[in-house]
Amino acid sequence: MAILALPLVISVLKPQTTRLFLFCSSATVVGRPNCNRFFLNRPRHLTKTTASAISTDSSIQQHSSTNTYNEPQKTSVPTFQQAIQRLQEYWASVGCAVMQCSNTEVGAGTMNPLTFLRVLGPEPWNVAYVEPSIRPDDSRYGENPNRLQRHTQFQVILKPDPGNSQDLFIRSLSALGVDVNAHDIRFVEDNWESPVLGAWGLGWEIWMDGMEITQFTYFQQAGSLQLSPISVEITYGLERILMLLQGVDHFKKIRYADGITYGEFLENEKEMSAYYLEHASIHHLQKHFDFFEEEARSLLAAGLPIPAYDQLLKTSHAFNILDSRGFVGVTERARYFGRMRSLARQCAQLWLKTRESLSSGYCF
Amino acid sequence: MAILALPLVISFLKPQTNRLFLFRSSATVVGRPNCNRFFLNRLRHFTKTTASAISTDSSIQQHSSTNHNEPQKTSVPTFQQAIQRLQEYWASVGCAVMQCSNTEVGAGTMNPLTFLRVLGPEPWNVAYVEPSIRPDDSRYGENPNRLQRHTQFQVILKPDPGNSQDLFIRSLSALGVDVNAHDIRFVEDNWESPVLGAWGLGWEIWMDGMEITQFTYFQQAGSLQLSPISVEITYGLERILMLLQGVDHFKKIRYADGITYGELFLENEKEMSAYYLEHASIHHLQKHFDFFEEEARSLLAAGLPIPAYDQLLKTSHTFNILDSRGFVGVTERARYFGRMRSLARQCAQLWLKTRESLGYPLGTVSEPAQLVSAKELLEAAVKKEHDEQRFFVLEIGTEEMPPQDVVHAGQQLKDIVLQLLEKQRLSHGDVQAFGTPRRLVVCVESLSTKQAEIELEVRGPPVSKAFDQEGHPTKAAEGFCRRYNISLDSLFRKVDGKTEYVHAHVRETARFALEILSEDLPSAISRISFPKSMRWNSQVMFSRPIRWIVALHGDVVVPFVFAGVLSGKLSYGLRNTPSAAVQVESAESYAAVMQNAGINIEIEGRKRSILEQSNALAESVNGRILIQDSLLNEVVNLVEAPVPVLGKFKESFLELPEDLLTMVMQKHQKYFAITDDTGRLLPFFIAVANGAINETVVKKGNEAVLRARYEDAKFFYELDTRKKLSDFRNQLNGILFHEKLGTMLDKMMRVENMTTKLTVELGFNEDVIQVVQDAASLAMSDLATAVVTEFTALSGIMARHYALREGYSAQIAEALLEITLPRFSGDMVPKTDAGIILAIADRLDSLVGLFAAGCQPSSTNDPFGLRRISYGLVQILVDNDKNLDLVRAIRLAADVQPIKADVSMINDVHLFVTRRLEQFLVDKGIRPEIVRSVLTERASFPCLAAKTAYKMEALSRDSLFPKVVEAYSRPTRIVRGKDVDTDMKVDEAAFETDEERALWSTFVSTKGKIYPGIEIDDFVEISSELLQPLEDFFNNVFVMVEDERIRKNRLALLNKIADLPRGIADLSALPGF
Repeated sequence: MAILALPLVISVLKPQTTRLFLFCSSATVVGRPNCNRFFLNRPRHLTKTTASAISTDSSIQQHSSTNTYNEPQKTSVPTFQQAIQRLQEYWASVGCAVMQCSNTEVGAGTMNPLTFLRVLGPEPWNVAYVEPSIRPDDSRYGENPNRLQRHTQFQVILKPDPGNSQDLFIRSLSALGVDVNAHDIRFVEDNWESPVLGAWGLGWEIWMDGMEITQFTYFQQAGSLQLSPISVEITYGLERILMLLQGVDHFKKIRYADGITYGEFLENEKEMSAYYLEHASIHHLQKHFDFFEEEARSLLAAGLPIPAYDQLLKTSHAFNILDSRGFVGVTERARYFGRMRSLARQCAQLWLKTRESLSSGYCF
Repeated sequence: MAILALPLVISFLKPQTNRLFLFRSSATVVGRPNCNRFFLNRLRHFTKTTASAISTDSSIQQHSSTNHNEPQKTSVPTFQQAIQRLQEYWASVGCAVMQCSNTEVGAGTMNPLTFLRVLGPEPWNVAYVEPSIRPDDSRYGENPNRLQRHTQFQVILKPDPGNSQDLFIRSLSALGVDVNAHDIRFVEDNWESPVLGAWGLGWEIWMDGMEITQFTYFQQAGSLQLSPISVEITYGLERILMLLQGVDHFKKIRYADGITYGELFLENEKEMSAYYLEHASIHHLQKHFDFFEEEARSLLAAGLPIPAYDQLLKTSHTFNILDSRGFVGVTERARYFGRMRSLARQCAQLWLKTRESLGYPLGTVSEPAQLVSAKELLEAAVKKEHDEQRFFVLEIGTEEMPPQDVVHAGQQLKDIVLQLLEKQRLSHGDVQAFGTPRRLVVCVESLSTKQAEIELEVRGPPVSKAFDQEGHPTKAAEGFCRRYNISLDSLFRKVDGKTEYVHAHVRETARFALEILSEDLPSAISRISFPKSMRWNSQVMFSRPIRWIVALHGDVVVPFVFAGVLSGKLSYGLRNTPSAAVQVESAESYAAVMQNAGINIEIEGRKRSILEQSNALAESVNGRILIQDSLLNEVVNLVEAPVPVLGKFKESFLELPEDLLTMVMQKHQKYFAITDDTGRLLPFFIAVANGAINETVVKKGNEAVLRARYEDAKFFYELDTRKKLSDFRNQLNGILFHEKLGTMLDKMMRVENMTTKLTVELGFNEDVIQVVQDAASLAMSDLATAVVTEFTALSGIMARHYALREGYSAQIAEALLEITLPRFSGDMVPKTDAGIILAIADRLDSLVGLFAAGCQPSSTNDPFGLRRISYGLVQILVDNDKNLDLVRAIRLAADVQPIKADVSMINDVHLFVTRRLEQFLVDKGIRPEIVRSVLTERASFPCLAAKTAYKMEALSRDSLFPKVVEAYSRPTRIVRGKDVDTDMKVDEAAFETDEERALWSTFVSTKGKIYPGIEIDDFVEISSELLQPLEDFFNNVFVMVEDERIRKNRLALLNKIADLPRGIADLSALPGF
């Protein structure tokens, strides 16, 4: 796969440099200066690889493929934090802005205004960010090896669809250190819908050797509005991918960084699960929901879609907790959904109006 | 600096590769493969630079330095690259890179990854980006430097690795900053969070005058002492990126290729600002707060600290919005803080318990074990000791101490060492103290190598115990002799108190200076005290962490360990020079070594050098420096190797008020302003940089910072001058003074309403009333102006400026400034009539209002500064000789308050002011008993009381005064406790003796001359007429006769006399009464 050669290089190269440095300084021993000698050789080696790997000249490429493929592949199983870094670097390298996660709880990267609001309207938008996603309903006290109330998504939005999104995605796996030539990578139909956001799209679950690792969606509608242009959303489930890459059977065993496992968040899972499933006050949540909704409405009336959407996110989180406490009946649920969907629609409409009034917006 | 070379490389390499790729793929054209050829060259070039920069080999390094300029220029990162570089750098030194908080936080510190993890014994090294939400900083995106959502990059190092400052500086290199060219400084800054019950000591880090990072050693969190100590480094990314990219508004920052910060976030700033400042529902927020708090409490009760802390974060954000909506008064605020602090404390405690029960999965940090024992070194050193007298030098090397600590600690160290030498009988020559921000030094000339020998007389057991009945020595006596190695014959007897003891003359062995110093210096150093001190790696407290100690006697190291540091010969020079680490061969060579390293250890020397160089620079532009002593003294101890740099600012800024310009220079930037011969400001400034820097770079950097500040100021100034000063009056409505006392507008209306009556009370001529009224209708309006909102220290000054600008009279303008005076102790007091009236009215209103609202200060807490306010009130009255009746004035202020002030409250206020008056007079050097004596009678008239006290203080040194006091004491003492009706008339018919009659007639004539408000010296003079008649009376008349009528009449006469000083002074408080 010749087209894969180019970006593969960048990414394979860079995380390794990082890794090497990590290797040298063990976690608690910060900044000992005694491993200089070690570096002296290594970077020289690496820079050589780089220079050669980058060229499109085929003779050099052959050289590079013998050089890079097998050897680095084996040593490059990333830690959790490296995986994030590699994905950030990769997607930055193809032109995405790398941004930060939401300031308020979201159930998925999709709900971050960087996705929900930005897929609306005609403006181009390419962004990548990590989103710790809060799903009270998935609370399992950290006992289920695959399910967490707070799991980490890596979210990418490409707007408009650049036409080679699937390839870009596969290259990102290479960037992560996956030997895409060895694994069975498949796009399995999966259509996505969010009744709260009034959004839906078509796409796939992406399977690697039978395990779902990513969601890939062509957004058709958001805030009950037809989208044009169409955005591509790629959502990596990082815990899953890392478990697979590192070959561990429980999220708590994932190596997060050198010397720290994901199990450091186990207590967080336990306690937050206890909160979401047992202790959260129904009465307070209902009140919160009402207040947030009212606030959102008055902000919409004041012509402020961004803070209104922020309040909508808060209603959504409040609803999710209510739901996980088992206090939402079926009809009730439909009513809650209706209330939130209506807010989402109005936020979307108002946002579009605002962007229009800002006229051209920004040009790429 | 060789150690810097390494990490610089990593980061240089990667972001650059990155940037190139970004460059290639323009944003919408994702992944086009057609520009590879371009890369080929570029990358090769870069990789070469990289490879060389990486090596620590000096020959290659030289090569790299020739490359310096070029890559430096090309490596300015975008916002996202800066984050990436920092993440990579901190990951490379061992930090876990994590994600931001899921709920709004005001700072990275509040993220549980910091707040909870700094607690307890487990190590923790983490770095993360934190978008920090500060509703109070909402500016609709219009202020170039302030955002309601700004981005922090937060690093926690726990325990302190010992080289955090270096690690930080390397991170700047990783960002692409040439740390050898810039003036990078650690400027004292102490951090405290009343909500989190947390505080720490540390610095703002300045780069060419711009604050770019906060650096803190955490001491406490959740109201718990921390051990080990964590280092917190918080980068303000927007600021740093503005600086690196050279843009003057956050919206212009390049976020990623082809997209700016403004395009991404400006609309967000606008709308969220509107929400936080205008639309947020107070009612909802208050409810939310209560619910979140309740939820947190019940979670704490359920033993769940993590979700409880999450709820606490939500309360905090809710409070912040309430606050930005202006609906939190000062007392209310304190209550909210208390509620949150209590939650934070409980979360912290519970979290600690949980970690403990989990068995500290990350391990525990223990204090570093000392590998070498000072004792072994000492034995070796003693062998090297010579016989001659040599220099002794002690240098305590620290991280940057606050300027005032350098002076005070240096002096203390000198005194302590002197005491030590005296006590230990070590003869020595001159002892001198030196200091820089990074070192305290004491030098002793000709220190002898051994103690002087002396003979001591030592007391042994009592004789009765030392000898048995036959007079033979007992075991006790033998033991005593053995202990001092003396013979039984040498004992002698001596009485001590009531008992006779055996004694002996003991020759104390002369020990080596080396041994003594080695033993005593650690405890000597630990005796240095600081206004604020901190721990870092042990229980040892010091101003800032100690990183090295040089202790040399001649060329022998005096070995000891303090705070985990072993003394030696290695000292440290300026960070960015070849002498970053230097060997000191002998105590005598220390001064030369420092000099060669470019460091001036003499405080006065640095001062001279700064003055000389600055004067020369100022003269080069035909100006002179405006020197403020306090500023000079501060600057002197901010640098080790002062390099004054002359900078320039645009002449057009001179249109701004000079007070504003110099305040920004002096207070914010620590620059010296420059004036021409007539005192007019010139468009230049002098920044004092530290050490080896690239002057052009530093000059440019400082100019950019000042320009940014002045642009800011100009923006605000122009905003203000578009309106009239009177237009701001109504905006005072938006500034809450106190929830029960209304807004600042309400307050100023009260002041206005008080002025006419107060003018009369103060005895001013009525024609001043118009000016006072006019001034009162404008006073404090500048609080609502943009300039004062931004630079609060200019309140009053700006009002005067704007008033003059609009053509108000000088009297009115001056009064607008004077209403704020005195602002701090030692400040000016108002001098003009209108200024005096307004300043007094304003203070009376604050005092009476806040007392009525229940905000009296407690012994430890005075949130409204009422002590300062009252002290100021007293000062204004006394300094201007204004004889105001305080009680009437307080009633006047009470009449205009919205809440009722009752009589007892008025008394409380009066008493409170009297206490300040007492302190004021004692501060003036008047003896406390005189102050008390006067205040008992004249506290209602502060000015009269002060005058009386001054005069009494002078009189009390005369011979007459004590006689008068004594004269009054006799009748007073006789009358005291007797059944005397004060109203009882004296019946002249009941007099039996001439002495009685004489005394009576003298009394009558005296009484006629004494009037309320009489000066004390006149009173004493007049009273002296009573001396003789009183003397005669007491010598010849017996008061307590059987005859009741006569007895009572005599007592009544004496009572009248004893009453004469009433309203003037309570003489019974004086000595000799």
